[in-house]
Amino acid sequence: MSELILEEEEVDVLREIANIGSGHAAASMEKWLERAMLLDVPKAFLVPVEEVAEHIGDPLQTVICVYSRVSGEITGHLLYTLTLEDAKVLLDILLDPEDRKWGFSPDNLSAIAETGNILFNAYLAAVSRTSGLELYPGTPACAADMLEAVVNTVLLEICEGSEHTLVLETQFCGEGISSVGYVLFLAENEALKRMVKKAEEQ
Amino acid sequence: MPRRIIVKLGDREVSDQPGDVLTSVLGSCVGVIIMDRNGPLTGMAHIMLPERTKGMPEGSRRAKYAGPGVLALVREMVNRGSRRGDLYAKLCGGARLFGENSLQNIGERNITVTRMALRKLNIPILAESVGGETGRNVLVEVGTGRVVVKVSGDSMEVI
Repeated sequence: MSELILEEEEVDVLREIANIGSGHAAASMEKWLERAMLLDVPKAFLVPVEEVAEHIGDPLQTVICVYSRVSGEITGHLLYTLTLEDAKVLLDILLDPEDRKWGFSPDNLSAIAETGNILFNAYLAAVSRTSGLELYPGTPACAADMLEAVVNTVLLEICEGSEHTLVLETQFCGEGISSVGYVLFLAENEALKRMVKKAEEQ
Repeated sequence: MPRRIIVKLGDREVSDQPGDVLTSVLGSCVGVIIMDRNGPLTGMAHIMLPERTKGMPEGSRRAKYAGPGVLALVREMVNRGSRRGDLYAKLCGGARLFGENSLQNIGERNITVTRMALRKLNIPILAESVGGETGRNVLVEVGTGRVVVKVSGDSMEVI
């Protein structure tokens, strides 16, 4: 069996699906944070597996990452990743001043995990509708660790059949705030191809 | 000039230049470091997966899987002049970053299969920093045999 390669047209379709997912995620984020969100068009980059982390950010920087497995008609992976500055901005919005002083305590991290959960649910619901594939998020898990360690750990789940991986990345910014993290969607090339095919039949 | 040599995901690097540093960031992956009692020759393989799933392509990465990855690293060191009996190993990585019940525990399987591969080749493991729930930034000093393991935040250990 040789490697499945994603064609440029397929990447375009997937970027559009991610765009719709991100739009819905931003709308849910607006309600959750009670402020307007600004959203860039998602980036889609197809890179060798070992270069994914460096395309996202500084591989050694500590990030907070919420992870959820995507199951249903295809398997995929969603990550909501925040630099420590992003996480601080988010907690300042979500928490009372009294709770903020605990920094990245387990309780405060669970507020970030809940934010990830809200984003993932909205993102996947829209991706499901657009692609016609039934998809469900799993229970979110949270880690604070080096970006490269986190990203590579998730990549191990999808890298076996492919040397290159498509990364769909959306950064979330709010009015007056630079960034409150970004969402990454990853899946095996075979699963992504099925998503494109199904979406085109819609 | 001492070099900082990044050992990429699924790859391996070897150096005999004292002062060089071989480095990798490891989450669930395992870093196998092989050193020579009689000289500076030092190698590291960045193992991704315990073994190949049937039907999957082999791919081009030289140290993707534990067994072939360890064997190829040992062969390269022997080709560069080491005697098999002088080699010893240190292991790092194999963590489970997201706790229980999320991703499969690839880290633990990576550790188990890598240890088996080393045992098969009669290469003793002299030190380990494995398992747990944190990623590791590993720096292998060629010539001194020291391996510095840093975790996110400030803490570090030397094995």
